[in-house]
Amino acid sequence: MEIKDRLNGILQDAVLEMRGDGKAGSGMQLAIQSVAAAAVEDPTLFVQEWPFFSSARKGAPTRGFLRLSRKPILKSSEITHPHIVLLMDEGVTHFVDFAEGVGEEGIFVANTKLSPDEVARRYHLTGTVVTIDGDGISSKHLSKPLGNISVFAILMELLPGFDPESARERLRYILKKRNLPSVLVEKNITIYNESLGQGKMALCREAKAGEHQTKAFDGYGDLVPGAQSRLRLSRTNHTAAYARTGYVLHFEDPTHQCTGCGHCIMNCPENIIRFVPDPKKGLQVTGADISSYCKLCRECIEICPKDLFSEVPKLEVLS
Amino acid sequence: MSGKAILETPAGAVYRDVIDLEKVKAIHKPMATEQHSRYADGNTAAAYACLQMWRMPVYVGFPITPSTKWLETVASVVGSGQVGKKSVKLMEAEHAVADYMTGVAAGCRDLIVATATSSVGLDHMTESTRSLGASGLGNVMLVNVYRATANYPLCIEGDPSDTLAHRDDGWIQVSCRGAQQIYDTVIQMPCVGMHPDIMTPTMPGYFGIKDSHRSSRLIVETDEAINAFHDAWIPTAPYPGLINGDTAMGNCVTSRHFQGFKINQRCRMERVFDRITEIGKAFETTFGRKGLELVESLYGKPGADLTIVGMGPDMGTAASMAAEWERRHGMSVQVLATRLLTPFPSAEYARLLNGSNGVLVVNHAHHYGSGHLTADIAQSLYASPTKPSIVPCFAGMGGADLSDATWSMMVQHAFNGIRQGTAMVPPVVVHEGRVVWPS
Repeated sequence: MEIKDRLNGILQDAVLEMRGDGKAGSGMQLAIQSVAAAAVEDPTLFVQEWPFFSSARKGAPTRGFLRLSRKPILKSSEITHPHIVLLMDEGVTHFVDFAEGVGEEGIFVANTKLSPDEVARRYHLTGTVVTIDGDGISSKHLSKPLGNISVFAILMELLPGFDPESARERLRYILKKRNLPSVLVEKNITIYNESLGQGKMALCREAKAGEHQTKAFDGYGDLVPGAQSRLRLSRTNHTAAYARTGYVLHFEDPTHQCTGCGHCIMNCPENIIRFVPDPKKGLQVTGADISSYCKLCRECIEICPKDLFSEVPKLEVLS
Repeated sequence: MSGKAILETPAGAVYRDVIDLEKVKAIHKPMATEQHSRYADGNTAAAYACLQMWRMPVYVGFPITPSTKWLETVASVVGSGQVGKKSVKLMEAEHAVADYMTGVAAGCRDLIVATATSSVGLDHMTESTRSLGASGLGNVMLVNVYRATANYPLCIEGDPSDTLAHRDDGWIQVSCRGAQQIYDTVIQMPCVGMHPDIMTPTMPGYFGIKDSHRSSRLIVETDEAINAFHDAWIPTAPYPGLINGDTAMGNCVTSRHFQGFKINQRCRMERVFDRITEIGKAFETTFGRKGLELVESLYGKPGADLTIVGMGPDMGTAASMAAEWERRHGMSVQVLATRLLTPFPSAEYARLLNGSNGVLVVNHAHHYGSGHLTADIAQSLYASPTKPSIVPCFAGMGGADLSDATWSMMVQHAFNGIRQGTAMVPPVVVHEGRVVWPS
């Protein structure tokens, strides 16, 4: 209740700002858009919502922004000091600091199996941390880890001016508008119902001094024509983020079966296959640099005549 | 076609009943029978406005980010039958889109045809847009969703370099910000373009991503009200269409006549200033929201110490910070957002800038001089008795965010320029609160 009062104060006198990080296809935009659509129901609320994404496919990191106020919203710049942040997919934490710019009274809503204290320790968070295993609930009903409906339910409970009951009907309307089959609409409503009251909340103080501060822009460096390819400049084009969360490419060739055919090198769209010259075979593949750009497209897995590449769970992917 | 109403004009014969407008009108089914609020992004708002016009039975397009959702929306609604029998033509490329629009518009000057495009999509249409600009086909509307057109490297975010590269194509260009203004502008543009004094195609535009994908509350008017507004402002076209063979696109004239046509084109364009203001006022009277205007005043008054001029939604951020700058710098501030880009309302800017000590011009598009907008503002001020210092800045190129820090740096830079009393300060590029060029 205390949080709701505080947020209500911001809503009345200023602009309540929310930012979310997830992966394309994780449903984060739907969660934020659903809040905005519900807000439009209240004629006294002003709302502004927009996504940020690059020219990328499913799995790429995306951001969503939301402003709410009882006063007209003029500002259109990106939200850098949000009151609330969403973490829809922990896979993005390798590439973005989802807590950047959040003040000590910030609210973190995370779609995770972890408890609020565990999330706060893992990501060094200070503020109110709310967690819900949205992926788990969704997997039960949809056989897919889509935590967005659960996160939307949590937001409907947290945000002032929203009623979880009427939000349910709004959600049903939005899903129908997206031409979802009615059976899926109802399964999503079940997820929504099941998520209400399931958020775990804790006040945490794990951020170290100076952590998560907005980083100052440090210039562009020495750009030359063609640098957009050579230097891989887009912050969202770290294509390893497109990969299925929790899985990585694995190369294993203890008995040197690699024939040196080079198919994996030619087919890799990211140019990350490593090899050494070999006097007999021409070349010997030694592995792949999966640190930033392996998106698990499976080209090397499919093409290798000796099946030396595979996709394996990365148990410590979030550590 | 009965051939009963053939009217000979100096430009050819008008066949009034080639297309029975009453039948076209009867086919239209209203999308909105009651005024209501909904949640919409800029592309959806532009699409809805188009879908609600009975005069628009054909939509043409080729998808390109960030304008694609306009096409998706009209295709989805038309396909559902919600607006009656209409058609969506997905062409093989943008050049074909422009050509198809020419055919439709020329086929019946009383109907409206529209598309939406961005960046190199607009560039690809160039051969046809320049013909269309001079054609007198004011019933063509091109919704330009701004995206960087200096396309190496490729960037899908919004800056208006595409629309600014087409300033001389002969279209009436109006810049918008926010879903509601986009919707309202698209409704009004055919009234301007099809006005018998003007007969010039229209190009409403808005920032890709920053507005095309930003959602907010949209008040949707009834189709009846929108079409009544159109009926009041769009008279029967006095000139022939082209399908009757009296005229054609691409006819060749000698230089003796070429200049005459260009002078006529320019005269029609100059009438836009008065008509756009009239239509904007009528829109406000009818719908209760501000209609088209030459320049949008967002904060402060003429004669403020510093006037800030720029395009699009970022000007809202400036307006939200202006009071703080006034306190910090002890000077008054005026914030103006562009509306009419072509023809450029120089006299109106001269009036609004009269008495200011300095004008900060924020240019979003790459330019080797001091900026497209700066050049226009400088020309506007040339004949003014009092000339403020002109401080050109570049910010937001490629759709980059204009953060609070960026705005504050530009304003600080402008105040420094004012204090020095320089006529025109050399341009700088500002990003994330830093002057990044010259370094």
